[in-house]
Amino acid sequence: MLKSRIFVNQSTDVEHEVRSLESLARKHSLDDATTDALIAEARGLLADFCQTAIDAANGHFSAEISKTIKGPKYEVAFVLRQEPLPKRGGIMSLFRR
Amino acid sequence: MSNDSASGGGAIKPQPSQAVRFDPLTPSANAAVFSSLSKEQQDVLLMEYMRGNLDVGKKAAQMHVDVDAFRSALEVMSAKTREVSSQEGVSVQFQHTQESSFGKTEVIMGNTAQAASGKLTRTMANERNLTPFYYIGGIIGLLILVSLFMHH
Repeated sequence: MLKSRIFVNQSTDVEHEVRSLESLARKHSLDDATTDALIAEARGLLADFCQTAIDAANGHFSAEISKTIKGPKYEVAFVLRQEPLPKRGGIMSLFRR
Repeated sequence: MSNDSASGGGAIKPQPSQAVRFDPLTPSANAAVFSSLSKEQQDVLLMEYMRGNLDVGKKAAQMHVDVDAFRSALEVMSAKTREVSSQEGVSVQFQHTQESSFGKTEVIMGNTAQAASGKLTRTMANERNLTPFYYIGGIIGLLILVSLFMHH
């Protein structure tokens, strides 16, 4: 059973994530049809999340969206977290929430 | 300078029977008589009046820009919230805080419990997060206790 969680923000490279997911699917011996279905859904979702993250960064608002796609042999969660602007770094960022 | 030249929009209307009349609630009824003033004084007054108008116009334009930016951010957030929250098993939350020429605005929307509570995270609400200081204080206290035990 493939279980994974992918975090998305405005700098996420959609194709890179798709390739990683594809190799993960191969590692878990998912058949071609299942892999294709997973990749197609993941690519659409990643592109959509990435666009929302860019909108959030440009519009100066924070966005948090999570969605899990489930299939016969996989369960992949997509988590979008986008802060509006870079805030203070260092130790304070550990306690931001 | 003609007295009528300053009456664009009816803000200043010289009338022989009145010296100065100013009603902030009905600017169109305002009137001023310039005939008793010298040409230079009239020019100065007109200049001040025009400068005031320009300042008001500039402020209005700035507010318009702020409102437009806010409106587009709200449109993106609400459209996305509507679109995403209609899908099953999806959690969505948007937060926005801004301080602009028309004041401070805080927005939170989504289908999460926090969105329902209407309370922004500390970061978004620009509240000071004291948690790190509690941790540091706790560690210092612990070190003091350890050093006390070590000495006994």
